[in-house]
Amino acid sequence: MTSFKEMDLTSLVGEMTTSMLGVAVTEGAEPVGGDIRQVVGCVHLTSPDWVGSILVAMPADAAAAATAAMFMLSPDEIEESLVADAMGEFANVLAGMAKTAIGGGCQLSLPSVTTGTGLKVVVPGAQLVEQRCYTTDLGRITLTTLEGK
Amino acid sequence: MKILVVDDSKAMRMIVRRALMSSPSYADATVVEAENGQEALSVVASESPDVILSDWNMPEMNGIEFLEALAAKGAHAPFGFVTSESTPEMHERATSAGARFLVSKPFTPESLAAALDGAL
Repeated sequence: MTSFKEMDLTSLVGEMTTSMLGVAVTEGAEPVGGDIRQVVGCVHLTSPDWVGSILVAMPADAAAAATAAMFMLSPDEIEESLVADAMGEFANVLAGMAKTAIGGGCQLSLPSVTTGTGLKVVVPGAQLVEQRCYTTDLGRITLTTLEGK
Repeated sequence: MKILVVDDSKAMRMIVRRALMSSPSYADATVVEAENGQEALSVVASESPDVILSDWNMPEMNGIEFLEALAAKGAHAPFGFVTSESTPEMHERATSAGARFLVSKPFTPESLAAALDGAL
């Protein structure tokens, strides 16, 4: 089973943002402070001998801007449910690409989305693999991967 | 032409709709939508779409269950998957069930139109 560590996650994030949002990403952004309200999309990957999770987080204002870009709406037209839908789909697309990179053999969960400050996501049986922060013209994106057996 | 787009994500339904509208071949198509396979079965019965584009991973009834339910009912509208998951096993299962193509998310308007062109 391929580990998240063996994947070119930056390429996956870049492909996702370029095709869905029309923006490129640059790795190496400062992590988002815990006092900033964030929207986090999460999808779990499950196989008989491996579990993994992909979390995509954006500050709430950046998530709204990304949603506006996706829907071609002005930011003041964006509702919270649309932001949640968009963030869930970002996580879903990334998880799908990760599944393809893994070579199949695992199932994807439906996406879940959480909004708040100081969020800490715990997946029983999985440990943090890494957290990468990116800058885009729409704001910062943080990708977190967890996995376990 | 009437195209049914089935996806539990409103965002993705809009992206698919926009991709179709940007294609010269499908810009004039009527697009109808459903949030999952169960709802889509009702839309197929009421709208008789000419082609169906469906996500795979959805609540209530997923895409492959939807396709199998359509086949059981004798429906024959060309069917393609637009899904974030794309493995050889899924391609095989999709085509065995009668799907004409499988387009991976994220996709471009051109790749979606090309898949539709090939299926119609």
